[in-house]
Amino acid sequence: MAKRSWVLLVLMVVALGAVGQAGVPATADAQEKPEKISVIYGGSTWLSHWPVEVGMRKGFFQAEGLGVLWQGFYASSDRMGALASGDLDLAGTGSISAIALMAAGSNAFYVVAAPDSYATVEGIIAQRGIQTIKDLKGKKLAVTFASSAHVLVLDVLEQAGLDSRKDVDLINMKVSDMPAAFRNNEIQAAATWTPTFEKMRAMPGAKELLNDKEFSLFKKYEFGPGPDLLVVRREFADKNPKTTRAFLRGYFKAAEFMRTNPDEAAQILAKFTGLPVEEQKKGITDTTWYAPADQQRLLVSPGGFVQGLKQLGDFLVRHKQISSAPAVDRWVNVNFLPGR
Amino acid sequence: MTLIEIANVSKSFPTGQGPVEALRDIHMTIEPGEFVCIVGPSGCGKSTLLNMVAGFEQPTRGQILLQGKPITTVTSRCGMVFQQYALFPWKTMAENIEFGLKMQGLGRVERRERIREYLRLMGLEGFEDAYPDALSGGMKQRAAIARVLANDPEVLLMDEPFASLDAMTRQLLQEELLRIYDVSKKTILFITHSIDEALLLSTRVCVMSARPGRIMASLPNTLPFPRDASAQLSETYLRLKTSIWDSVQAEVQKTLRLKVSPS
Amino acid sequence: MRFLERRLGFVGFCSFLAFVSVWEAVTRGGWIEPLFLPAPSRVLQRAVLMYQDQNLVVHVLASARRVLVGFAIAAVAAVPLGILLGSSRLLRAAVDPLLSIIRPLPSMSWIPLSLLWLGIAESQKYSIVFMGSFAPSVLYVMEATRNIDPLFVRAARNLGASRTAVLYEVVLPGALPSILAGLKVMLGIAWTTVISAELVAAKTGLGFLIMNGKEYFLTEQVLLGMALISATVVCIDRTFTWVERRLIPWRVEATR
Repeated sequence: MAKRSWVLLVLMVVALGAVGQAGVPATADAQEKPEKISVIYGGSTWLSHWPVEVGMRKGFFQAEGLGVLWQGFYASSDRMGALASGDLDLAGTGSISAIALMAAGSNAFYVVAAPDSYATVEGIIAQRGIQTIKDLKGKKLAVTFASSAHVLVLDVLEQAGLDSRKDVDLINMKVSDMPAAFRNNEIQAAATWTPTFEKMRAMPGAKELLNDKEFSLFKKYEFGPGPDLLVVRREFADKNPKTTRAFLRGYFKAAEFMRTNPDEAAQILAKFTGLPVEEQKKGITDTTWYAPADQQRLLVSPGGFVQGLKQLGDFLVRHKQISSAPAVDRWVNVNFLPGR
Repeated sequence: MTLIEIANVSKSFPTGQGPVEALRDIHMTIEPGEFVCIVGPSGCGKSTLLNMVAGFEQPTRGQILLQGKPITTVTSRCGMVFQQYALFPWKTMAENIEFGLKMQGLGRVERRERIREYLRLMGLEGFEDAYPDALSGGMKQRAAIARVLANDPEVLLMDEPFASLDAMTRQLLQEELLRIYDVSKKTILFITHSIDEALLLSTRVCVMSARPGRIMASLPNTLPFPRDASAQLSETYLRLKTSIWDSVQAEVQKTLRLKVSPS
Repeated sequence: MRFLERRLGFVGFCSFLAFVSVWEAVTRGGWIEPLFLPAPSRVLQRAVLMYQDQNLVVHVLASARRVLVGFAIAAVAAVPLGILLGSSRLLRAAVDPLLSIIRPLPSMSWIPLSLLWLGIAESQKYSIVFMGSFAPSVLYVMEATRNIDPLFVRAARNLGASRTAVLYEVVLPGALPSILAGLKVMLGIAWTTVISAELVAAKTGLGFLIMNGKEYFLTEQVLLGMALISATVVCIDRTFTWVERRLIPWRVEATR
């Protein structure tokens, strides 16, 4: 059954690709025909993948002569693992997994773009009685280890002078398990992200204790606890540069569409994330969707975003999550961006 | 008073092809102090008969009486010595001998006294702390006999007890059994397929037929006591053996004929 | 005998050494990316690092406690139940279908229910180990009980033992060697549930170490966790064998 639907999907993509090549008027960039008619993209319902979903629904990739095969992964680390072993061509990822893979010495991928900047879509939800971070002392705080929320928790506890190993009982838990545990009072707080963040905030007896704006690097550089990256498998990109470029063109067109048509984008994405349309729209408008033109500034010079990633690497080393901070710029490659 | 009366006992076992008759109309009595040997070809049901006396199995028809009362369940008054010794491997020799006494609820001091007595009787001194698996078959069977004797049963049931021993050990244990019989005056019901063994040990030999097992002959053994292996050279011995052999031979021939004849 | 044993032990040690050397050479030579297989020396480095950090021992002890407690509860429940089932055909007929239903379920499949029933406390982790080892343990004990030579039961009954006396004088000690052998196998199997047990709401333990290592692509930490599980199981196995010898002295004497 699974096999058959896979074959069906491939056939559909092939058909879509053919239609795209034949029927849609070629854009300036699209004169360069991609080497491949489809790419495999690893994503989840998290916001950095929204442009891919919108691009697929609105035909932006199709217009580039490209079909996108979506592979859903719950965690960034699984996605990056699949990328490293060659099962994915492109993926959106949280930077922590990317930094960890860099630190593990893997040259398997390029960082090709910084897709977005967000705030207030992840944070700590706590029971009403908990007023400040210090009140978390002795409480059970659920967090998915090795996630951006984990980094946020380690950072805000450090800011408050609490020891993350002794003072607060950190419970390693999937975001999807948190609402039930919170309702049963097994945990008194949860560090979580959109869309669970908004859903838990709306639960009775719950309140937002803090959000990602409290992250120390955000206060200094407006750099979130685990900003997103768009990555491509190195071997794939080197062999299929035109395909990679075509994907990025489609991706940024979709991001542009979300900026200019948030209402329609919210309609599309609400089906994808399960959020109410209003809240979905707020998620879109609260996020900065970077354009290709921003990438030079972010990733190359002055490259504040890459500086932030390095700081994040140092932070992870300091908290003994990885053994050494990688030189992130060695992985950055902006040559696949539109207009290059 | 008759010690054991086997009164018109028949036994059949259910099988896939309907019931198979193992024993038919067995009738025999055993008086106190007798040493009865039952001889018969293999598969004649002699072990089944012994198992019924011990209470492990119930007759299909008829009944078995011990001092006039029917045996309906397993009873320690009929102590069994098995061919495979059946010593508990997790208990030392002394603990094995102690087992029945413990079940009777005897006190520690009395138990220890009896253990020593029967270790001495069976020549097992110095082996009291050994586990059975560390000892030879002969030693194990001595311990098994000691274990049953210590329990002081009315009758000793012995199911081919020396069949798995080598010839020399067997002869030694046979002579030892005669000595014990002489000392203890226990009633013994002994099963064997060896006519020589039956003649050497018993005061009476019962010959059983092939399946369904029946008692074909009951001959008093007139060999004088005390006996040892040399009794096998006497005139009486040969005469007795010939008469037993004649009846057994007829039975064996019958079985063989049954086996080779196309059915 | 002893000499031969020592020789064979030496052979085993040499093959282990050869295995590790080839592994080290292959990874040092750069034929395999460290992400996919780090050198044993790097695994060792990670071990030293984590030991100095003082939490390596914590991980070993946390997992050992979870497995041993979960398994001990399973064993304490399984031994009497298995003996009862082994000695009563009626009970066996009643309980066997239930056991057949529980037995094939992977320990992982109990996670959602255990979370609902027990929450995220340690008892939830014990319950995963318990569910992973209980049903097979019962079956081991049941088989061990059924395989007792009926001759021993006859002999005991013939010597005047009541049915209850037969149970603790014959069935229990008679089945003990097989029960212990079965439990030893089960203890090894109980360790295979440690990942499932530490998948949710754990921040210590070897299962956690492996899964967290995976999150950060610390393959050497993954291998370290795996190696420590093996080493701990070997240690516990040795201890178990030692206890076993003391509990069944008759076996030792017979094979000496």
